[in-house]
Amino acid sequence: MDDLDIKKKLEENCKDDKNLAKFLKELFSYELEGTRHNYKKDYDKMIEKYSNSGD
Amino acid sequence: MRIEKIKIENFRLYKNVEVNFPKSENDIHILIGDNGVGKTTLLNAIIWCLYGDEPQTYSNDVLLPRLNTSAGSDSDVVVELHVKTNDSRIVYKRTQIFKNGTSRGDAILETFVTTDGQTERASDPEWEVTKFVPGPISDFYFFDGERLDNYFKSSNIEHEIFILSHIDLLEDMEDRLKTKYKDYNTSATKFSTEIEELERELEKKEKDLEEKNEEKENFERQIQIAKTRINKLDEDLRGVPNIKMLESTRNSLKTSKDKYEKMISKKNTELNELLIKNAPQIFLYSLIDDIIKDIERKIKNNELPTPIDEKELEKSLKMNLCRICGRKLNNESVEFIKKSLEEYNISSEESKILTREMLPDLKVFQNNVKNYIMLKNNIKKDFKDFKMDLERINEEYAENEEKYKKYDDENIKLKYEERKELEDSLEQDNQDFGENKRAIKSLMKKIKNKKEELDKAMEGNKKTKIFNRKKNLCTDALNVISETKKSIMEDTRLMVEKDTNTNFFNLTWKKHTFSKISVNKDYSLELIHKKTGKNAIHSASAAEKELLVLSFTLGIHKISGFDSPLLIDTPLARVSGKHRENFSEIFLKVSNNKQIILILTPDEYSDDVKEVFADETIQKSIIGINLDETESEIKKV
Repeated sequence: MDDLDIKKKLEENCKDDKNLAKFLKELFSYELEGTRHNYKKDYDKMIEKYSNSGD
Repeated sequence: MRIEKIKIENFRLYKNVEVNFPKSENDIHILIGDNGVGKTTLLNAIIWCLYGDEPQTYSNDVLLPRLNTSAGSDSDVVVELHVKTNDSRIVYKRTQIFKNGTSRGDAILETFVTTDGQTERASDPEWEVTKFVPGPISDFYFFDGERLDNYFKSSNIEHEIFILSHIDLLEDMEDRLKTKYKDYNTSATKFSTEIEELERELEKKEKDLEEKNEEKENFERQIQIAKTRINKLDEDLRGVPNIKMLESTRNSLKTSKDKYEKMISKKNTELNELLIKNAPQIFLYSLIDDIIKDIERKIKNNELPTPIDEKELEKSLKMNLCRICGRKLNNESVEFIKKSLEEYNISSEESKILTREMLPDLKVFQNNVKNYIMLKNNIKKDFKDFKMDLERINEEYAENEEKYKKYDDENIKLKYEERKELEDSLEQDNQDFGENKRAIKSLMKKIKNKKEELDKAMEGNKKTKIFNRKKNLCTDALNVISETKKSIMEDTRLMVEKDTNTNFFNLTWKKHTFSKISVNKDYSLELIHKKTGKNAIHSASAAEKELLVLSFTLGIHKISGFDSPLLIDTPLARVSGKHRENFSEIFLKVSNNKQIILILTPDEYSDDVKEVFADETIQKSIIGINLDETESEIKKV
């Protein structure tokens, strides 16, 4: 199962929540990159971004 | 991907070895060596080069130093693995520096990538390794043949499947989102707890204020009632003196009257005592006054001899010397002094009595009389004042008595008593009312402050809403990840199961015994017997079991997406007889699509096996060791 398959799976499980799907795909890409300096800070940024654009 | 070359310098038994793996029709390579000549060391050299450690245990249980014992003590240990991909060549090179036989720092990995004739040193060599075979799944690619045998003893490979399916990444996401959720929850709870606490406090203060306002209304009502009643009583008692007051006044006046009468009586006594005490002097006053006047007249008219100092004169006579001028007295002077002394003795005795003794005493008497007059006048004045006060009190008393007798009525007394009680009560109510007003003022101030605090906290509450929104996003994401994990695990399991079945039934020499292989959720394997329909894994031969695990491993290779070589140390050791041949044929089949490197013992490399690998294009090499067992070499057969 490659990265695209997993992203697709994540998207499918988000059903119609496009914001959530984008958020999860971004998180997955971040983890895939494997260069994690300060995940708390990076996660904060991503959560901040997608929690504001979800409504 | 395939391994083209392994180059080893000073790694344990290998002082200087280079093994090439040229590609032929069947990409299978056989290395044969006795136990203890360096078979496991070869496997470990590859793993150390890629991952920096040596997980495989050595058969003789003696861990030799990594630096070859016959190499110089300042030599470096170097292992190079040359790998070919579809579009490039990669050289993984790990070096460990030794000085005086001691390692200097960690072993360093370098990676050189050649693409289109251009070689570049990779900035992240470990990352290049993950492109070949990631460390966590390397056990599926480079392993001891025992793994094939031991799979059923330790089949907990879920974690490795997680890594293969990237579920480990999803799990990292899960862990981090859970941590973030907790952080947000803590922050949100902090604000909401503060708000709840403030709201509770505000509610209590507002309730207290409500009670105080009720109290205030009661006080106002009571005060109003009391005032109204006092007004009514005042109306009833208008022009009517207060009997109680009159009674009180009467008592007070009576007390004053008694007091003044006693004071007057006391003054009378004082006057009498003064008169008795001074009576003799008063009666003789006129005579004393005359005597004083007479003496003073005599003194004034010099009718009394001049007072002389007879003692001085006597001293002068005794010393025969004048005490004034200091000259010696002559006879005439002596006679004069003697005569003067006689005259003085006769005339001055009377004068002395009058001036020195009588006159001062008489003057004391005279002064006493004068003092008496002054004291008498004072007493008389007090007496007169007291009399006047007493008269006034008597008048007031009489007047009060007249009123008292006129209004001595029980009803009036009761009304006055009621009025007095009402006034006392009103005074107390007014005091309480004042305290109540102060309390209300204080409470209102506290409520104002609390509301301000609450407003601030509500500002924080906006943050709470933000935190809650973030929490919700985390929760939604966690749910999706959980679902995705389950779904991927199931898909992966089904894919592994499908590939394992394909591989097994493609490779097996027993085509009609088993119907299918089930890969359970915990990745335990079941080999279903065609006739019984039940799991026959426990009755399967070692070769069948190893084939099953090999099929499963190849299935794992497929789903991992890493088409890397398979290197197995002693793959046939646990397989005997005809099955060795069968198994060798299987490896041959697999090598059509994948590079296979097998490290065999001479025992494993039996005649039947030799026959299977008889094709000249299949490279065979011998691993040998020198006589003093310090250096191994690998030679092509």
